[in-house]
Amino acid sequence: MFGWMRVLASRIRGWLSARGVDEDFSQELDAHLELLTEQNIRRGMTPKEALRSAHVRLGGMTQLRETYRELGGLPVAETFFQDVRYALRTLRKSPGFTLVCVLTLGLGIGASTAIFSVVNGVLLRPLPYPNNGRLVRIEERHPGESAANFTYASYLDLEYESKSLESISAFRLWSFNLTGEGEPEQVSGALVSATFFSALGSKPFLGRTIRAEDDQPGGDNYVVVLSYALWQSRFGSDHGIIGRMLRVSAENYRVIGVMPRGFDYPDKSKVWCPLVPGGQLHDNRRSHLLTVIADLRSGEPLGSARGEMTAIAERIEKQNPGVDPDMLITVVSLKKSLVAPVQPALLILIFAVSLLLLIACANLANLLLARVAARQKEFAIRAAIGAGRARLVRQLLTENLVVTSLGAALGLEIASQSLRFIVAVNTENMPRFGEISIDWWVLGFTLLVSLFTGLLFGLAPALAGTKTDLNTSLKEGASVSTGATRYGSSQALVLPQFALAVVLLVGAGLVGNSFVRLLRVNPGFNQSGVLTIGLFLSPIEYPEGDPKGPVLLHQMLESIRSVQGLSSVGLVNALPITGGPDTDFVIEGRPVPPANNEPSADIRTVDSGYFRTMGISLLAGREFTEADNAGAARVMVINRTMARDYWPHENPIGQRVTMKDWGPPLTGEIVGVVGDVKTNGLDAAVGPMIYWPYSQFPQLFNTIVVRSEGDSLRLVPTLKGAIWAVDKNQPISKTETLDQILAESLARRRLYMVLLGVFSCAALLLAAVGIYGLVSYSVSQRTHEMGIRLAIGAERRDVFLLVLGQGARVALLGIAVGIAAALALTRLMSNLLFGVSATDPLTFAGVALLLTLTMLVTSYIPARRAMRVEPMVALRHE
Amino acid sequence: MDAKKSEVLQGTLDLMILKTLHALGPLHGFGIARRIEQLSEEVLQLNEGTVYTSLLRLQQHGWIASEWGTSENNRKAKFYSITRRGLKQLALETENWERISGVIGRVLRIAERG
Repeated sequence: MFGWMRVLASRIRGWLSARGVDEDFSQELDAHLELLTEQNIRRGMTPKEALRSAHVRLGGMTQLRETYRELGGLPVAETFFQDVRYALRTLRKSPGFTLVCVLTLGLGIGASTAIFSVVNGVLLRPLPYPNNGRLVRIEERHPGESAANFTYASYLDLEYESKSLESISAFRLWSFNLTGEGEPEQVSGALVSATFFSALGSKPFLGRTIRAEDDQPGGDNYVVVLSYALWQSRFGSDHGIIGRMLRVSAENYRVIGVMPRGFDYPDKSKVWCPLVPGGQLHDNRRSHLLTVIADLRSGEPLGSARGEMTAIAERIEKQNPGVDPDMLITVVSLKKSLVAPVQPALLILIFAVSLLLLIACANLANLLLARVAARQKEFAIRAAIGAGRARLVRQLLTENLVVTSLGAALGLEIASQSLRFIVAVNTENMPRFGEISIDWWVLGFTLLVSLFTGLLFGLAPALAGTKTDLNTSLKEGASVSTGATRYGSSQALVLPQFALAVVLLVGAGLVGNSFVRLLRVNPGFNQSGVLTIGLFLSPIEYPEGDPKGPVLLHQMLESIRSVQGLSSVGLVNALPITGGPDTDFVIEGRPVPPANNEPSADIRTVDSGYFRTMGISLLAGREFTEADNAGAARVMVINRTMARDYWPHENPIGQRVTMKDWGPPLTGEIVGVVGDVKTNGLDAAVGPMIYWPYSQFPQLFNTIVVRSEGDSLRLVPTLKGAIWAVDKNQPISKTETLDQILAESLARRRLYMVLLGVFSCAALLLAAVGIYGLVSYSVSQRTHEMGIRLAIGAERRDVFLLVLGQGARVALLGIAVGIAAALALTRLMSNLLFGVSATDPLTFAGVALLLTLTMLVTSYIPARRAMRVEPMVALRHE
Repeated sequence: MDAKKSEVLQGTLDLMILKTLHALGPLHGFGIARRIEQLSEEVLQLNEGTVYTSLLRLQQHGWIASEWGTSENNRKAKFYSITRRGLKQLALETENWERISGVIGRVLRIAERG
């Protein structure tokens, strides 16, 4: 039954020890021959006759040995390795060709493997939670807004009514102050409802996760689950951590569990505590603070869940008219909601890199075709002395496979290095980038691509190249005619190369242009030399409304002011660029707008030094002073946009505005107008903003800003010391300069720009190689023709122009096609652009010029070679 | 026809070698060839070299094993012996042959009568 397996095994063994087997058998045969000879001598023959008769009896020894070797080994493997050795020898003889081929393929495969890994890790691979197939995010949307968070009351309604979802869970991101042992540390985490961990399906590494009893008001609320990373870094992987009491945000919490390594949902959380309903923030229908996730009940399709959500939304609105109008509830898969921000860009990148791969393959095909054509004579001779056509094809194929394998190996190396770089530079800002790696899918993709390339682009030329008519190939002058047909086909390949290079370069140019414009945007403040220090006051020690908070902040600001080297100090609750809280407002003395049409403004609390520290200009009225404290009349400062939008023809100073979303309504008198700052990013529009004095409206989250001469980061330890001198248990979160914050906000765009830039450079290189190959090949094929032209009186300059013209025709046509394609395609990327239209004529013109120059430069060298040909030498050349 | 004939002869040769080794114990290539010569009364006109291709095949299937030893005239020689698996194969093939020859015999006798 399995006899064939045994035979195969012994044949493999025989092949591996072929030499030993050969020797053994030779010995056996010799011995046999000797015995036969002796037998013949005993029978009376002469020694010479005896030997001859013995040979006859035994049969042809060489034939026998060969049969034995074939039967005992693996002839297929032997010929294959023979071919590979021969291929390596031939390739080494033409190193230029080999190098260019390997580089071309390496670039193409490397780039596409890297990008495919990114797309796989971010878009294709399922989320790393056990329930990922059913995980959905429920979003509450209002027309005209992009936010998707729930209010607590609506979340309760959803939980009560929904039949198509289970394990409905709400959470909000939160900051936690860890004090007690070690340095006070502020960590990010989440307040989660009891069903959070079961919705994801993730089990703890140690201990347990949050249960329903922990999440009830009055239950065991002071429990905390730690992340693996925090358990390692702050608690030294102590296995006795379960049950230990920790001081979290000035209260005692008991550790109940540790999550497994790598679990950090949402948003790199390090701790999880129960959400615990209650408090004014939770009981209203106006504070949209909660993210809601759930599992689809098994077998429940997304569509029917969506239908149910619409019905629930209608019911909620009917039961609570006017409170949270125009509510829409939708369901999306959690993965989609996480990757949505980068999906369009990644798809564009995949497209770009596929183009690059195509260019590389086209180049490779060109090179292979040209090389095969140049070796016509070699094949003719080999065929003449007996090599079968199949053998020649097999050998050519092996050669091409060797080249593509080398290219694939280089490509894999390029890919892993690029991935390491991409992930290291960008994990902060990109969703799921930490999950990217080269995995089996990607390796399979790479192998498939290289096999496909090797076979397709290697087989066709191989077959064509060996279809030789011996006579014509060996005759002189034959190469002239074959040359014309050969270079015709490679012309067809150079044209798309140029077109594709145009498309990529235009894309890169537009994105780069956008980026440069963005860098020039005035952020509304002066970022150089400003350091920011984040503080989160513990809500236990400094509850809302308690004057202790502002007093503490005041003391800290004074302490910092005494540090040497600072030119000014300020305080704000949320920095520009990174966004912040907003509110609806009403202007006193104006008709009240309908409930769902109230205007909204960003809201900030600042001290008297903030505007000066940040370099925000005062346009009218005054800034805050020390006199604007808790006991004094409520005042506010607005930004220019608010002044312009709501008081276009009058002075806003003295007007009164009421805001309502933060507890009881607060009314203040406008005392000043300041310049706009870019609140949500350099590329986002600016809206109205209201500033309150921090002592009149204290916040838990604050950032201290300091301006200094010289390197502000050097001052960090001194500043931390000044803060801890006031309260040694006050944790400090990020310390960053404004420069760093601005750079981070542009990080994603910068990544796209760099990637597209690298691709288009690679595409340009490849297109240049393509044109060079085309022109120099045609020159070498038409040397004979050049000689004739020169001999009959053509000027050298004419020959030069003729050669140049060949390349130019193809290239210019390619550029034209590319521009047409780019015009059609770039509108797809318009949401990535800033300040530049998708059909910006300058960019297009620039790219066309660049490619034309490239073509001229690379054609110059072979054209010059053609020009210098000696007619007599050329005429003798075949 | 020649190819088929040599296949059949090769098959027969394999069987004869197995039988020889079974009956006479370990032999070297020359010894096997002599014995087969005797048995077949020189009907099989193969070159002696083909014995070695048979021996290789039988080894690959695991039906015989080889070992270096010394021959009668003190020369180094490779000795072949049948294995347990080879014995099973021999029994199987013998049974096959007897069945076939029985059938053919009956067929030929029928043909004669008709």
